[in-house]
Amino acid sequence: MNFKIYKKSLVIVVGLIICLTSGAQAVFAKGPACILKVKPELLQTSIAQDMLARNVNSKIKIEDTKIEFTDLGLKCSGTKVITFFPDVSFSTVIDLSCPKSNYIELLIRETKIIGVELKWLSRLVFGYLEKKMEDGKLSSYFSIAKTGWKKDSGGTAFSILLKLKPSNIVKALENPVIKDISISAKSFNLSVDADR
Amino acid sequence: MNKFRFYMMAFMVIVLSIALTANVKASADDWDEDPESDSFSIGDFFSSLNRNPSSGQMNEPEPVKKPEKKRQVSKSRTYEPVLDVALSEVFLNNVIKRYIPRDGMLTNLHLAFNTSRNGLNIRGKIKLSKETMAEYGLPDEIGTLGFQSAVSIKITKRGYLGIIFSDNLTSVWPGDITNPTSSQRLKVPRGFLKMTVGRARIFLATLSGDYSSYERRSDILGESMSKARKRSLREKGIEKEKTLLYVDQLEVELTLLAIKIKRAKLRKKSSTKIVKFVGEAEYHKSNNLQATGGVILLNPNLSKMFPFLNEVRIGDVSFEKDMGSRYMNITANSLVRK
Repeated sequence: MNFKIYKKSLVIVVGLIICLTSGAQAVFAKGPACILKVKPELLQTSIAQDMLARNVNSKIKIEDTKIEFTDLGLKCSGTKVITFFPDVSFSTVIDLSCPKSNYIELLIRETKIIGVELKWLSRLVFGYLEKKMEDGKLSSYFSIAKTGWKKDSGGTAFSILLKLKPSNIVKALENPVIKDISISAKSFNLSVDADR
Repeated sequence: MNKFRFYMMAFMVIVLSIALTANVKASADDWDEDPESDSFSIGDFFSSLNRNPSSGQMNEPEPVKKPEKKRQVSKSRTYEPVLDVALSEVFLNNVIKRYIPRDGMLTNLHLAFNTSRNGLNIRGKIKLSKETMAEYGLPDEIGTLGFQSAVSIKITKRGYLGIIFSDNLTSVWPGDITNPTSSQRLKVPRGFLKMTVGRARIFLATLSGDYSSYERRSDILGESMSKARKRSLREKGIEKEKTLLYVDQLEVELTLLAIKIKRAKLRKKSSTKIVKFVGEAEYHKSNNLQATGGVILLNPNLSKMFPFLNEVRIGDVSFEKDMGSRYMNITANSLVRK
């Protein structure tokens, strides 16, 4: 009897040690291999502005087009020129999250035209993205995995789930895995793990 | 009658909208006449109006001058931090483990980031040649030495990366001791540190495709070889020296070949990504890699590291703790329109 208790306690102790040590290893290897922190100033560099000018529709005033980092997400705003009518201002907020490794979820919310929120217009952003995908410019970086309306604490938003191709995005690392994405007013953070 | 009213209303709306857009375009055209107005926008014009709501004189020349100052400011470009790349200590050590050859001069290399000192400690083992040991009066039994060096990183005004090896915090011990006590450690003489740093420079340059140091050595030996050949024709008994020089030249050539093979092997192991990471081709026969005293100066080609940025230079290198790991944080600065 005593021997059985001894055996059981030994198994528990060994199990605990294994759990604790593996836990410690997990904590140790918790941090990603590389974190890229993109600052809002990057959008003011000549190369970024030229890229914006190349990709924005000719009817949209480039000098009014703004992409800002906010705590809510990526805020895009601008003005569209409509012939014979006054210019129309628009804005949208794209919330970014990483539901699982190598996937990004874009939640398009607060799509406003002349200050009026029109939720159905969020689909237009998806249309723009789809068109770019057809052009083949973005298809080397990601593919669209799922789309649809989603309800969460921030309200209803149009969700686009993108499957990333990390080896084309982070070329310097071997077999990279995009683990996390976060955005704040100060920076846009991309956590990448690689072959260790 | 109702139809007439409707058409009148529609006509009025169209006329009004044309008048409004024409007004905006006219004010924009005024700005376009200015030869330096390429960077000025209508948005800027309206924001300047918002700042001086009391002026109310859109057609007068005075308010036109005010935004000119703003335009000059908008043209100024300064280097600002645009991107931070944080590399984890665990990841870098694994990369080193994978790519540093086990049979090379440096083995068991390990980096430890020191967040309080804002630097890093390098620990490892160094295999010394018999000539080097004889040069520093070390006994032959010590083939391998353990070493530790405290390194700090500074950025020069030109954006060069300076890796500074500290004299006081660099020590060596016999290779068979794993955890040496302070009495077992020997402070490294400055000359030895200088030599090691010089060797490290050659190693890095060779890894980056610059074989100039070996080629130079080979050329010198070739010259002395031809001189000796001439002398041997005149005098007798010089054959021995000639043979020795020939052996030396052969050794250099073989070393050169061995390095090329090693490099090809590294390429096969897909290590090129890491080498390219620091701007491989740009080191080739240039002054982008220098070693002076205990300092290695690097000018990494960041445009290869960040292909989406131009006019980029290193802004800062710092060490910090985040998410349970220690990270080396490299800040890239680029020209930003203010």
